[in-house]
Amino acid sequence: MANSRSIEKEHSQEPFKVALFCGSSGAMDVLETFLSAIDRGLKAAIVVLLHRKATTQDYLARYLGQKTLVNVQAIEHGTLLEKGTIYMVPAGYHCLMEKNMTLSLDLSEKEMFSRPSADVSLESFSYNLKERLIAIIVSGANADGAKGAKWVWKRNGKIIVQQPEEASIGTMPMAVIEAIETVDHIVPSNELYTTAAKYF
Amino acid sequence: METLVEISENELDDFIQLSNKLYGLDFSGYAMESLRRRVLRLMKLKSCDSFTAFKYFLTNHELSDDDLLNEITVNTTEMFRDAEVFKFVRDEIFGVLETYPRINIWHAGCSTGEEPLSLAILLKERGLLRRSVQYCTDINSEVIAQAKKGIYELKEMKEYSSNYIKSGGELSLSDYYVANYGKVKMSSELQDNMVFTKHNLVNGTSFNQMHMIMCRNVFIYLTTAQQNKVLRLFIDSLVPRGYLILGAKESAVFSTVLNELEIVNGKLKIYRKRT
Repeated sequence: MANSRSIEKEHSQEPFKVALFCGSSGAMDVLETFLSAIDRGLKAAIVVLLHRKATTQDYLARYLGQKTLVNVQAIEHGTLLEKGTIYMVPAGYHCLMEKNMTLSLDLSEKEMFSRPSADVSLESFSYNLKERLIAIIVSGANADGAKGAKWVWKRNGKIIVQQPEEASIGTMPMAVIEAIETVDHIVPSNELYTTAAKYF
Repeated sequence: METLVEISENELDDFIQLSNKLYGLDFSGYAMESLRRRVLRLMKLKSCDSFTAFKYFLTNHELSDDDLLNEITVNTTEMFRDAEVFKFVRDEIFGVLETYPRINIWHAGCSTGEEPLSLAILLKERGLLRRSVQYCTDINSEVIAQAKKGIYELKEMKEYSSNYIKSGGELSLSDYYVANYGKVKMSSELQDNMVFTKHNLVNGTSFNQMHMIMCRNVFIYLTTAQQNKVLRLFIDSLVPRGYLILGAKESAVFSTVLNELEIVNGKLKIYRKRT
């Protein structure tokens, strides 16, 4: 049933862009700035992946819902992506993108000590979305995201990185800049959304 | 730059067919992206830098059937994972279970046995352990062998203890194990009433009437069609008003059998069979 339902929706929807926002320590403020810039007519879907303790409750979706004008939804296994919505990756699971635009969760090994891992999601999202993926990598203390960004780059997605000097911990954005030949944009946190929105 | 190994959709289909023909393992009902990720991981592990090399490796049967199954399936589990669920079982469901003279519980996809043990501890504290039979099944015989041993890493126990307390545990988790050489051995009494069997949920049949079925974080690896099949099996295996508990991020809401289930707690994914 879920399948036929998602197939119907898939056909009724024009292909849209997906922005995957990845961050770790120091990313919360950046995320709030990013979300507050979103206007009602959001033409893309936004997926937010933050490194969090696995036991964290899902209050984050509710809290962030108050910071933005569009709908914020916590991801469950099988959630269908639709434009105009922000999706939160749950703590403790990897998040994968299926071909039919539904999201899958996975409990396999941590990558870079992280689950959810940005490397895992960036690879999976770029596999199925190709040039429709816009990756945004912000503040964090490890190099999770650098390997995934290579895939995004190879598959013609866009990569936007927070200025490492401006980030509270610049390791994660710096690792991405070092991993690939040219990232598309390196911008301060208050320009992340407007930069991404140019592609929506 | 490290080479990026990739496989196409057709190659993944090839893998599904090969493992079916050569190893007798049917991965066609697996969630695609999870499967692709596991295959890529196994290729890296075996130093295959292309799918052709991996195919050669598979056809030369350098893995046993069990090895392949082990590498592809995910067996991550914890004690008292999602403590709220265990607290709900303890506070709300035990009161119903204790009205039965004998309590049948099925852990479908028991993996290395942490969940059956967690439940056994709570059953014991409620005085229900002796009356319960816990059927622990998994498709993977290696994890069942580990589950039977009841030996775990000591370093995990700090988190498990805190989950145990949050689940409403009355004592201390350390009352249930002895620690040595960085490992813990769980008290064997907890396993007295456990039955371990290899069982494939996707083509398996019902083997008893259950009062409660726990199947957490198995559905995330299955296609919707397979999930529906497994749900059918669960409903056929439950007594009227029996409980079904899925993983915290899984849902039976879109399934074809929803009308046969009542939602007891939507957030915790606890369902009950209608009469």
